Amino acid sequence: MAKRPLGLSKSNKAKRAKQNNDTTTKESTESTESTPQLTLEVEEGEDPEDELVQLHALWKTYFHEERQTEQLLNGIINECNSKLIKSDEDNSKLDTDYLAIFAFALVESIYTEDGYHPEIHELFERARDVTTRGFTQDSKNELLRLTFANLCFTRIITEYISQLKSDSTSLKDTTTGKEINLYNVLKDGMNKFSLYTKDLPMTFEVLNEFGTLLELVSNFNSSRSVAEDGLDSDIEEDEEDEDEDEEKAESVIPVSHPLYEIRTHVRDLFEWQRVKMIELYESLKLQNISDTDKFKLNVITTIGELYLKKAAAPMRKFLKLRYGDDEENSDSDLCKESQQEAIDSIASALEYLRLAQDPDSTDSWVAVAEAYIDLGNVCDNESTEQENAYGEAEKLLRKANIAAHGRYDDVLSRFLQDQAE
Amino acid sequence: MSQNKRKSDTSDVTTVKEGPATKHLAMEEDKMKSLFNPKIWDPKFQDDLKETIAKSEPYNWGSITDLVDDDLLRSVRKEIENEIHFTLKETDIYKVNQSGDLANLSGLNWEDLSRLPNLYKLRQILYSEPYRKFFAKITDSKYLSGKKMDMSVNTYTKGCHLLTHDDVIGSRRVSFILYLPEPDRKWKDHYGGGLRLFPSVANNIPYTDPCAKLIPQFNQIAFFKVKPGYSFHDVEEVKVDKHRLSIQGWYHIPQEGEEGYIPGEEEAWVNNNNSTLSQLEFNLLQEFEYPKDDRKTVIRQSSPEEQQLDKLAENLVKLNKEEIKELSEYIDETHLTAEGLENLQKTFLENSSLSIDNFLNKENSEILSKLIKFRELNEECPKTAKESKKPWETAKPPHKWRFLYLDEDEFNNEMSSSSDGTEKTELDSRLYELSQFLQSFTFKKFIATITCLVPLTQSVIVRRFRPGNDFTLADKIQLNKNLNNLMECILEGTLSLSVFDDWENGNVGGYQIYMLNEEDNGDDQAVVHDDNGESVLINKPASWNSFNLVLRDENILEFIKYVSWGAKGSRWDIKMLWDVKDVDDEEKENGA
Repeated sequence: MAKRPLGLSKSNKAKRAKQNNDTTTKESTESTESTPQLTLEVEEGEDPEDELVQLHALWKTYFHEERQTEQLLNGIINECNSKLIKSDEDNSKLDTDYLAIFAFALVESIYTEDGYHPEIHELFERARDVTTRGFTQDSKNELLRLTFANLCFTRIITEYISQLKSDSTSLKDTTTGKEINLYNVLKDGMNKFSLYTKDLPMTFEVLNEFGTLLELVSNFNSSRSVAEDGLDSDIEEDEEDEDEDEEKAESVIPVSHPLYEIRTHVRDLFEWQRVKMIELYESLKLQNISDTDKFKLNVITTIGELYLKKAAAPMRKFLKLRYGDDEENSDSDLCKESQQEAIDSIASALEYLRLAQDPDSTDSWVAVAEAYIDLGNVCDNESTEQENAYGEAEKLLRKANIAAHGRYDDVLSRFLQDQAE
Repeated sequence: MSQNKRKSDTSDVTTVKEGPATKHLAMEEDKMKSLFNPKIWDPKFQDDLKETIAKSEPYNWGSITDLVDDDLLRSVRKEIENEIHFTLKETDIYKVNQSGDLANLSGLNWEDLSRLPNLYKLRQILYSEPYRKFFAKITDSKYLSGKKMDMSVNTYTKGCHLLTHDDVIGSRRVSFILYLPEPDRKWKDHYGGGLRLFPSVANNIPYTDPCAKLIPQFNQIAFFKVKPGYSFHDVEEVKVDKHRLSIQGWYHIPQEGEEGYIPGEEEAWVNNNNSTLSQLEFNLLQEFEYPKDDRKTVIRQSSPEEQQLDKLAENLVKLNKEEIKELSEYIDETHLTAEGLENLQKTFLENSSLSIDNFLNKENSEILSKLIKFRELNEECPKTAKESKKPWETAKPPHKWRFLYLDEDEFNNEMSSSSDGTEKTELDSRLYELSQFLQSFTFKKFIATITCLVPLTQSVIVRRFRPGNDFTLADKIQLNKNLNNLMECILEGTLSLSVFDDWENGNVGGYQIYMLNEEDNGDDQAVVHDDNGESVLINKPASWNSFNLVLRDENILEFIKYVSWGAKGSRWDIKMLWDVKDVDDEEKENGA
């Protein structure tokens, strides 16, 4: 006779009762049985018994799959630390990758469930020491260089910016009392940065960290920094704010402020991010990855967005000259130069954003539509180019709006209204 | 749950007694009145508003802009932002950031009062005698209690919502919401978060779609008379990263010692409202409920079919080659091998539930995925009942559920009248055919094999839960009273056919919950996300091509969480119900 099932609630009750009984008997053996087992995959052709191969696999699992798992991170740190101690004792050379992973892991450990680690400064110092040791061994090591760049970018965001107020005039190292120049820290990171060709998604993360830093600096002290109040819903208002930011950068961040120098270089810095992102993409292309791969699409989209960022300043300049109060400037050389500069950047953005268009992602269609709107805005008024650009944008927005069950109703109606005016 | 009135939770209502704190903070009438917009004390304004409210649709409601002193409300907002901690709470009916209640403010010590002095002041004026009299007048509510205060602060952030309900709990007479979104910025329609009011088809039967909507602005109050079975409303999902902060409160029936107190009035009101649980109401609800719960008897008692299913359920025979072949036209073969079937059976018997990934075979999975995706991306999604096109109908009433379902009768009608030029879509045809397969005798044999249960009735329904629209509220099973040889359980199957991939973390809803009905826990809603998640037994995100089987007893609630406006697409599924044959107690004992 087959066993008959119970209803779900009864079955659950029976199971709980059983579990309670089991717990009491199992308690004594729990310490040996509860050690979690992890299966790691190593690259083809690599020796799974090799300790460095294992560490790489462990790091990869942590970074790409289990980044919230403190236990795994601590395991990596402990493993690297004991290797380092042993190499000191033996006076033997430790592979530079060990040092790179160790330093990266130390930086990762600043994040805890309750916020930043109370010994954040010491962790960064330790990580820095480890990278210094690595550079004396092999200054060209890609992973080490990427690790160092990440250390600099993350440190500015977490340890340094969190100490700054709107009226700060200096930033000092908490142990040495030495003045810290944030722009130099950032430049250090950028100078050492390298693509880590064996793990381009990790490289992408580090470049995004750099982008986050620039966004933070751009919005520092401005009304737009109130992220909790949402930036995705008030396009018109946001644009106004952006104008204000550009023009009043100095009043938002005073010259004496530790972030001032980065703030004044922010456009060049975004440029650097774009150039590195393109290098990453070129490297990715060599890896024979499908064009629909999500990571690849993310990289391409980011490049497109960075081109739009590049276009933003000349676009604003052009719009101001062409449609501003001073009619004399409306057809000046400066106006035309700005227009061409903006058009070139938007055209490049479109090239990438179109490439990243995913048939399943309406967001990717809207990104293209928005770039077309930008393009239309910088073309001569009522020109065929402008009409075409707006036409493309409308077509995509309508399509996206259907697919996204009306999510772009408002964007679409505002766009059509603007056109009608 | 959804068919019944939710139980009253009176823990957030406090009757305030005079004490040193209240005496100290007592405000002079003139001072108190001056903290309101002077317009509300103008008799003409009052009369006009009263008339507007009396004539309003779908029931008596209204709103007043710039209600209180602007500085006071800005200070209240600041206090709330700085001092009140919000916790995100999610149940079948809402997702909202809640504070504790404000009713006990006057019971706080001085230190606490100093933290929230403006909020205290606001509450004091909202429950003051002149304001209550004004409010009673404009809403034609006789008297309102000043002792029984009932307020809480909520903030709706992106994704937060409150589904359709009538606010009828205990002695509530008038509901109000004072809005405090960011001052100096207009709250726009496309932000969501609107208060939407539903007309009623009959008592306790709201119409599927709302007919009135208020877009909340800073310092605006919206209010309505609590009318059992009629005052249905919801809070539209907030669609953007903005905070829609509000103070929600109720005016209650006067308490003993207050003006307008009538002995027994409150008890009679509460009893009357509870009678909405009566069979009469329940029958009415069933009459207006679509789709109907019609588990048709498909296997007659002592029929050869029943005997065949019995043998399969008892493991006395196995599925034969022809049956496997027939099943494999839809089901992936890995589940149909001897080992596959054995594994499924073992899991089901151990857990009384089962989840099978990659259920449909590759061919069916691919074609359905392609067709569903095509519809999602290229065809306008109907947003209201009027917009939905046959053979798709809207499930109703909306205080129980809302989703689109494939009406198979309509589908067949269209089939027979295809000469009129209307062409069936390939997707509808495919879904219909799949539904027919799931209703086939061979599929029941498969079910009997893997569950060791004998299905005697069946109901199969193809559903689509649209983003920003659809859900089912937590409900208990309705046992089939027409047959007497059934287990006091229902076997439920759900084949999830949701394309796109953003369901896993639950942020956009659409997940299916099976949870214990802990009626004695003093709460009335099916809480999903809180610290104690022990009552949730199964939490299955919408997914592509996974089949869930659950043997559900009367202690289990089930619901599909409201699908957020932010979801990439709809949750599609096919829901199956089977009444299963009872086995005698001795067998059950042996089995368990």
